Amino acid sequence: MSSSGVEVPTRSGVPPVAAELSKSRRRRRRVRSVGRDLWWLILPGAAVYLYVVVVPTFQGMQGAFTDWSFATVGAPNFTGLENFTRIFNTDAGPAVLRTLQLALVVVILQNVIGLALALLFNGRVFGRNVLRTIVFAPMVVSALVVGYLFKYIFGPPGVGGVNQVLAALGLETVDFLGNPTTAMIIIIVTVLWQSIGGNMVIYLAGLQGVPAELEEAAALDGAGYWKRFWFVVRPLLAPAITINLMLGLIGGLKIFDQIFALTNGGPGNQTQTIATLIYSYFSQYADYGRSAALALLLAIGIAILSIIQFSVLRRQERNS
Amino acid sequence: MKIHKGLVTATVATLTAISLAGCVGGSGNAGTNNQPTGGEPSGTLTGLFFSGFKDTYEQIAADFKKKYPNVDVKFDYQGGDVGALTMTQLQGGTAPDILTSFPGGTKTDPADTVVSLAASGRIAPIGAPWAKDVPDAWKKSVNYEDKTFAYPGALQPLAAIFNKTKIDELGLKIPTTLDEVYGLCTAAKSKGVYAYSLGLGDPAGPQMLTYSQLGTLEADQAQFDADLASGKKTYADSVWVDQFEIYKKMGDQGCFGEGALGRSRDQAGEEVAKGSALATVDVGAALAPIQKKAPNSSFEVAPMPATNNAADTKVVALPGFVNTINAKAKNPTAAQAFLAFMGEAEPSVTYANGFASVPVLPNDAYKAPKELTAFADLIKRGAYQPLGTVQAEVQAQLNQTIQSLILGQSTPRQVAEKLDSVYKK
Repeated sequence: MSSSGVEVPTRSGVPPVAAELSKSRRRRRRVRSVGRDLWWLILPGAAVYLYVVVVPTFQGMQGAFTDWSFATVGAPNFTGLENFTRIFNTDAGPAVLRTLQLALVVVILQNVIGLALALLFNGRVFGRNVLRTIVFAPMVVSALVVGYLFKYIFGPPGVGGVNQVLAALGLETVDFLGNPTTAMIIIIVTVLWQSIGGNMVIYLAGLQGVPAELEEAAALDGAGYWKRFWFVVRPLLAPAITINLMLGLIGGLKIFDQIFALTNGGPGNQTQTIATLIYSYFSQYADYGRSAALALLLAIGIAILSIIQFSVLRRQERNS
Repeated sequence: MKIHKGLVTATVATLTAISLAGCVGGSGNAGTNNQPTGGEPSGTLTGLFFSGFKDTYEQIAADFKKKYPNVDVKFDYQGGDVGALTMTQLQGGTAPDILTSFPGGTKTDPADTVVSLAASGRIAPIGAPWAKDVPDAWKKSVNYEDKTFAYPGALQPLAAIFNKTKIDELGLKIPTTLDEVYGLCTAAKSKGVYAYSLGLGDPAGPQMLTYSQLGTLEADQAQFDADLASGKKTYADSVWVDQFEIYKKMGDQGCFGEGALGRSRDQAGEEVAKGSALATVDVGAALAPIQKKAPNSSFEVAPMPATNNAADTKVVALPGFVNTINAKAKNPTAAQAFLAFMGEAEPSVTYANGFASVPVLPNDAYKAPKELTAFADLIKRGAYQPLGTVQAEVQAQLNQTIQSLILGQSTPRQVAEKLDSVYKK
C-alpha cells in the first residue's frame, strides 16, 4: 500500500501486497503438503505406543470388571462392579482422602517454593548457576533411591542421621517414620526435595520471557517489588503456572516411590495412598482385577480433576 | 497418496491385530525347551533366587556343574519381594526354570506358595529320590495331592536371637517364662538398653513376635487352619487375641525401645549387634548378618515364651524359601536334576549353613553350629511347632494393624477382627 492508498504496480503487474499474500499462501500450501507426504513416518512409533500403552490400558480396563487374579486358570469371569464395591468396603476410602490431601499440599508447596527460588535465582545472586544446578540435581535421581536415602536420614533413634545429630546435641530424638503425622511430613519433604527443581526451571523459563522494559516502566511509575511481581510478572507467568499446577496435581495424585521406600503405607496403614494400594492389590495379593479397578478409578479421578483445573487456569490465563 | 493410504491402513490393521492377538494369548513360556524331557541334563538352566543367599546358590551351582558339565547355569538374584517378582514373571510367561517359592499355602489364596502354584498348574511335580524322605511333619509344606512339588530346603527357627555377650555383661539371663520376659524389659531399661529390637517399621517385621509365640499358645496349628477355613473358628475368638494382648503389654512396658515403629528388620539386627538391644525376634536367616556386624560377640537362639510354664514353650520352625520347578520350564530335565542334586548330602549341608538353618531332609553329614545346637536338638526331639498358614492379605493386614496396636489406635480384639475381615474362606 502507498501512502496515498493507491496500489503501486510492480514489474510483474501484481501489487506488492497481493504478491506477498500469494507467496505466503504458496508457502503455507507447500508446508501442508510436506506434512501430508510424510505423516506416515510416525507409524513405527505409533505402533509401539499402541502395543505398549493403548492395548494394555484397554486390557486393564477390561480386567477391572473381572475376577482376574494369579489363581485364575483360563479366562477370568465377568463380575460387573464387584471389584469396585470391594474396594470401597476396605481401605480405599481413607486412602482416597489421604491422596487428595497429599496432592494438595505437595502442589501448593512445590509451586510456592519453586517460584520463590526461580525469582531468587533470576536476580543477581552470587553463584546462581551453581545454586540452580544444586536445586535441580535431585530431579535426575531415581525417586526410589531418594526414598531409601531419606529413610536412613530420618531413621529411628540410634540409627537415623538426623536422630544422631539430635542426640549429639543433647536434644530429644524423634521416631520420624514411626509416627503417622511425622511420617507424612517426611514423605512430603522427600517429594518436595526431589521435585522443586523441576518447578523452578519451568518458572525460570517463564521469567526469561518477561521483558525487562515492562518492569523498568513499572518501577519508574513507582511500583514496588511486590506490585511489579503481582501486576507485571505474574500475568506473564500464567502459562508456566498452568503447566506447573497441572503437572504437580497429576504427579501428586500418583506419588508412589517415596511412600513405598519410606513407610510402605505404614505405620498402621496411615500413609497408604491409592497408588500404594494399587501396588498392594497387584503385587502382594495378586488380585489383578481389584488392582485394575482401583487404577481405573485413579485414572478417571486424575482426568476429572485435571480437566477442571485446566479450564479454570486457562480462563485465568486469558484474563491475565 | 492412494498407495500411502492403502499402506497405512494395512499397516495399522496388521499391527492392531498383532497387538490384540498378543493380549488375548495366554501367558505361555516365550521359548521352546532347549532340551527334550529325559536323558542326560544339558543346555541352559535358569533360576530366580533371593540376593541375600547368592553365595550359597552359586556354591551349589558350581558343585552341580562339576557333576553335570554340559549344563550352563544362569541364575538371577533379586532383593526385595522375590515372591511378587516370581508371580509377575509366571503371569507374564517370563519365569525361569527354577523358582523361589514359599511352603504350604492354600488354594483360595493366590500367592507364591506351593499349594497355590501346584493347584493352578504353574509348577511341576519333582521326581527326585529324596521326595520319599520328606518327614511327615513337613509334607504339608512341600506336597500337594500326594506329590512333592518343592525342595524343602532347611528349617530355620523363628525365635529370639540374643546377644549373649551383652546379656552376660549386664548380669541378666535369657527368659524362659512370660513374666521373665516382662522382667527382662524392666531390667534392660534400668541398665540403659532395651530388651527386644523388632523391625516394626518393616512390611514383614511386626508378625515375627506373633508367630514365635503362637507356637506355644496354639496347640494344633493345622487344626486351627482347618477350623478357620470351615468357618468354625475366627481370629477374634482364638489365641491370636491373647498374643496381641502380650504384644500390647510388651509395647507399653517399653520392651521395644524408642523409635520401634520406624525401625526396619535390618536396623533391628544392627541394634542387637551393637548391644543397644538384647535381642531381636526373627527367622534364623537374620542371624548371619548380625554375626557379621559383631564378630566378637556370641549369640544364642532361644524360643519366645508365651506362658508362665517353661515346659510349655515350643520353638517355631519353618522352612524359609523352598524351590520349585516352573511347569513351563524351558529345560525341565536340568531343573529336575538340579533339585535332585540339592537334596544330596553335601549340597544340603551347604544350603543349611548358608541359611543358618537345619536340613529338613535327614542328613548325617550335617553338624549344627554352636548357635543352632539347642534348636537342632529341639527339632530332633520334636519339641517344635510348624508355622500355620497365613493368607497374603491377612499377613499384610496383620503387620499393619500390629503397628496400629502399638500406636494405641487399635485394641487386640480389633486387630483380630481386621484379620477376619480380609480372610478368604
